[in-house]
Amino acid sequence: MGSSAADKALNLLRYLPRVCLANIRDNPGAVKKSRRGRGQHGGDYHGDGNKGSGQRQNFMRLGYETGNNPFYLRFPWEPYYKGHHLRRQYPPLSLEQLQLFVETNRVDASKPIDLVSIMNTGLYQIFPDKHQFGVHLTDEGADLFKCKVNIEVQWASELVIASVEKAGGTITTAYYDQHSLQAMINTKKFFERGIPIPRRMMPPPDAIEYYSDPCKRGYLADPEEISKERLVLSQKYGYVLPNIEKDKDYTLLTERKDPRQIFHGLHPGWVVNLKDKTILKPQNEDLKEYYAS
Amino acid sequence: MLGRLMLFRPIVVNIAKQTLKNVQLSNVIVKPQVKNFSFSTAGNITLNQPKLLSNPRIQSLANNIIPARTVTKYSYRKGKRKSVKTVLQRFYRLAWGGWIRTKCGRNKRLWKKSSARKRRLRQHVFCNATQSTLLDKMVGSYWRTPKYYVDDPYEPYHVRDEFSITSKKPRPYFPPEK
Repeated sequence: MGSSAADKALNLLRYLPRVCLANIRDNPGAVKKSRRGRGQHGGDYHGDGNKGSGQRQNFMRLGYETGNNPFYLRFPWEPYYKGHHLRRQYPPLSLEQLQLFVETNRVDASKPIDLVSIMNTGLYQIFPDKHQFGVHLTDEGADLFKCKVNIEVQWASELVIASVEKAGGTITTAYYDQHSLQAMINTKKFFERGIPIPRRMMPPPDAIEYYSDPCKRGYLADPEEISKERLVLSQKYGYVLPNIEKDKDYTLLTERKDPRQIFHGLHPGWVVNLKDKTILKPQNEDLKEYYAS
Repeated sequence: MLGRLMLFRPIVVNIAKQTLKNVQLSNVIVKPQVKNFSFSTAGNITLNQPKLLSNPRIQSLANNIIPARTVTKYSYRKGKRKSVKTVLQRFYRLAWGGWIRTKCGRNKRLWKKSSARKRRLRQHVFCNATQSTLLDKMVGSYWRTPKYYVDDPYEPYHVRDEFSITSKKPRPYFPPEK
């Protein structure tokens, strides 16, 4: 009747949790217990030697070199980290990754792409409290970029702008302050708080030049100037500029947010009620004026 | 004699300024002894010497300054590990874990160094693995996380994709030429 015992064991095993690292025993000899042996088994000074640091276990502090001029004090100062707490960070996203997002339907290219839609992929993160201010679209994969998109990023180089526009798309660089970013990184969580959508703040003085520059496709730049710069850039990089005025997606490609707006289709001051699926808008004239200014 | 007098005047003024500064800094109740410094002559200098350096309180302050340049493992208030400030003033950490530094004597006795040597002194060099490990231990986790600055002058050095052993991204595929 040995088979019945095996059956029982197998039956038992069926109801036991799966074998994993948390519930298996160590290999024999894997864990070596520390022993303070006597005599010939490592006794005498127990490996610490006679006299000195070893025996007294006075571990030296980090970097101390027993009287030498320590390595960490030896070299002249250099302002490597000067002003680091004020510098804005923009975590990179490459054109190659963006193309992958579009082709794998992580991002819907039939709508304007902004930070919210990039965050919604779950493959990109930013932390506003770590002084990160949004997407830096980098030029990796610029030669192979083929997506026609209307994208809004926070930082882009000239090559990136050229490759997006060569593919028939449009690109805008836009600034979001930290409160706006906090609302954008997790929209569901933000709407559940039941507070009105804040109005987007203007860029700080050191960024306003960048975001009002038509060469950088800044969101505060004159649209006329931008269309002029599009042509200039196409001539610089030597490609035929696709005519977006005759494109069937003209409205998609030219859709822009207001400089005070955070979400597409939602205005500052509105409250989104996810439970009742309603939107509450401010009625007070003062409030309207505040959110419009 | 007149020339000498003219020479001394600015020195006296400097001393008076220094003493004022010192008094403000250390909050010690010591008044500068120099009076009418603009009219003091060369002979008066020794008489009007400030007694700051011989002041016992100042001496005790100066002797009891303990430079805190070591790592704090557990701070008094929060029990947190603290960075060694001087490491961050002298070294820079690259995102792959390497540290760079300046060279010793790059500002010293440049008149007697050859142009090639001065050029070498201007360069920034890597620390070795042992030193980098030590410096990693001496700073907090904030300094060990990568930073995504735009227009960062050290940008090309933060990744080592040019070496097959250290590269992180897969190598781009180039189809064989026909």
